[in-house]
Amino acid sequence: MALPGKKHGMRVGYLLVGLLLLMALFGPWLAPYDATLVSLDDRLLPASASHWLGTDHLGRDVLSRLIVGTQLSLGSVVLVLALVLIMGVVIGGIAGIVGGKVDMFLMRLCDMFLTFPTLVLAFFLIALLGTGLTNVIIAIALSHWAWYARMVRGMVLAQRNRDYVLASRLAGASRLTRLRQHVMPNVVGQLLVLASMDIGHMMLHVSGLSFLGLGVSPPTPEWGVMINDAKEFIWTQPQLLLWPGLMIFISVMAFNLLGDALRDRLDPSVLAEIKE
Amino acid sequence: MKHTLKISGLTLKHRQRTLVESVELTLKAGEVHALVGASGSGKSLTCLGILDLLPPGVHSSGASLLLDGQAVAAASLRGREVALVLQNPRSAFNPVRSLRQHALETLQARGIRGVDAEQLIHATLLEVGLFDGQRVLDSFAFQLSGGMLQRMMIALALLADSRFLLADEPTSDLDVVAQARFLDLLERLMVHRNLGVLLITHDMGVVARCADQVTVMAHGRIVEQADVHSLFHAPQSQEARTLLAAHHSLTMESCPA
Amino acid sequence: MNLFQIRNLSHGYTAGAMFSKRHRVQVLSELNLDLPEGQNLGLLGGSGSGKSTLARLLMGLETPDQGSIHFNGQALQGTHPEFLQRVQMVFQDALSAFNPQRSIGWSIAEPLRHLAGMHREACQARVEQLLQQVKLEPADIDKLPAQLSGGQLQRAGIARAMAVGPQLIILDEALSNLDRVLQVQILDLLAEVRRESGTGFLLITHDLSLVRRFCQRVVVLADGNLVEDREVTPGMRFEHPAARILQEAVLPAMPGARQVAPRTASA
Repeated sequence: MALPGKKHGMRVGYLLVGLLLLMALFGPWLAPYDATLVSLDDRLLPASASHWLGTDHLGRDVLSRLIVGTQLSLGSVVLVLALVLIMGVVIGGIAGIVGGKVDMFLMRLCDMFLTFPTLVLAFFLIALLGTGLTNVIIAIALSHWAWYARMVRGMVLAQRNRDYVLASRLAGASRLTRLRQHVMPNVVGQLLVLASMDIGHMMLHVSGLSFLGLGVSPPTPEWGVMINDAKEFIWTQPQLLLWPGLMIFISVMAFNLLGDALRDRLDPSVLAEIKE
Repeated sequence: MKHTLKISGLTLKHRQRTLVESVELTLKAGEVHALVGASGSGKSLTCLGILDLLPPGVHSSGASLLLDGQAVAAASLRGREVALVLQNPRSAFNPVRSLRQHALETLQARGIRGVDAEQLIHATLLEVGLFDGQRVLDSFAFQLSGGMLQRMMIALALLADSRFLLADEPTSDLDVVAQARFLDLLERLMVHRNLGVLLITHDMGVVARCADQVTVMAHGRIVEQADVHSLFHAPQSQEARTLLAAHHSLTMESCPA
Repeated sequence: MNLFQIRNLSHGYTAGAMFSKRHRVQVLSELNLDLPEGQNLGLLGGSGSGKSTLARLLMGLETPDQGSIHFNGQALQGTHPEFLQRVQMVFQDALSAFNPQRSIGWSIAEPLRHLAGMHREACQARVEQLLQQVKLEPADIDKLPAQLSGGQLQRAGIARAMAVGPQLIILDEALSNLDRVLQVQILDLLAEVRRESGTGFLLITHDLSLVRRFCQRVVVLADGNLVEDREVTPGMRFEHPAARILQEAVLPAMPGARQVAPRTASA
């Protein structure tokens, strides 16, 4: 049964994710100023009626940069996640369904990727591919897919041995139908839950690499870049670090809450509890 | 002197909904008190409520426990005076500890260690019919059958020197042969160890086999309390009649009495 | 006419992997059994007697090591659609036998879609008829498995097995997880199905009282061997020791006097 506090959390999660999506889609129209407009006369202004969150070291409006930056910060994470999920489902799915030598080969390939810490692997791949947002996205995806492939394979194997898959076989459903109607929907359901909880983690990765100057390059508004820009003023203008940090914090939390909500919706064991 | 455990005024609620209402039960040493009812009648909750082991969100109110006339707290009975045997024995054991560790831990609570403990454990295993004691003790819960684990649960209760046993559907997951052996054991212990047993079941065959007193529950309330002979010959409540009708339609054909 | 004809059937599986030596465990040995059409046969055995393995072999889910299974005079080869139209199975754990994401109606219609090739409207009508036959509510069609009780789910399982009108339904411990009242209700329901459609049942169980109420004939499996094969009659007594143990384990109809003597000095 859903506790009252939990239900509240779910609503907050939906609301925050909705707001973030709005900001990502309509950022340039919502922002009060041009996010890249440099105005050296207005450097490092405190919060005021005209600049709600003040301005940065180049006189750009912080609020505008935060809003416009949502698109890149979230968009890159969604792209990473999409890549990771596709690779994970395809490779893990093939390994679990085909089995045998193919399974063996794919899983050893996974093991190779899993032996390196993800961040080290991402650095290595960026060193190979060069800097830039596209390469950062590819590097993070390549350093994470193996985790998902392993999980998908495990889920496929677990689902295949369920009684309802056997029942479907006895009902005359073909192998492909059983995979499509029973195995995959249940795997994807569980996977979406995991993925939504992982969005926060990925976001920290993208922002972290941007902070280190490997991803998005400076004039473009992005939260990691903003933190990087602000680090010189950490003693005099700490709020410049605080705002983008807070945005990352809120997004990570929002997606975790969404993940909780999704799990409650999709997980049959929770369903059974709600009934009682 | 005959030991008794009296439970009175046990009411269990989940938020505003009353799940179990003012249940009164008396367990006597050397007797089996059967608690029967359909699924959802609140019999398992009652059992957990007696030892205050309720699931989250369920609250107990107004219950009082009298052990030989003395008021006692539920927490002080658990694992000492009163032992619990559950339907699924596998989940009642810690999967990474051997059964020997479970047995030693139980005895440690009583301050018995070393050679004395080993001897007592072996004697108790023989008493519950686990003749291959060494192998059983070296095993983990997943390596033994359900019937053996239920015996081990009983052995632990005996090692804790419990005088009362609450058994919640102890034989529902066993096959009929393991069930019959388990009930034999229960009956023997009741006579020889003077154990008082609360036996929760939905099977009137189990009741007929080993109960002295019977309490029938429906929708969280007690609808009938009687000794086993009166209940089988003259059931008063609708619930008891339904249970007995199902039971007889499965058993009477073989021995047309 | 024999539906199934089993000759010299032996089967086992390989146990032990990482740490222990691999060895073959014999589950069934030299089994011979004929299963006539339209009969309710009870297959009685304790846990570990090999009765569930036999069910899997009969459903064509596994191929026997040795011996043969003939269905309607032809050697059984895997799960063919023509075979599945004739033989269906109900599982022990009803909750895990239904896809948690699909409605009850969708699951019951599965054999109709794949085996009978029915269209949507025909499926819908047949599912409604089946629900009525197993005494479930019409509204249950759209419910998820988690919204039904154990007894209701097992009825839905039976409806799914009945959907294509098979000649035989195998009940693999399908009543074991239900309480007595539900067991009797479902046995009565199955007896009605048999009267109306002529479907026979193979009741796999460890509980002789269910067999006595429902079956015309009973076979007893002990350690992979068939030790008894007889008509079910009111005064029926097994002779083989392993079968007698199962018979004597049946609980009494009425309470009797205590059988245990108090411990004596010599004990």
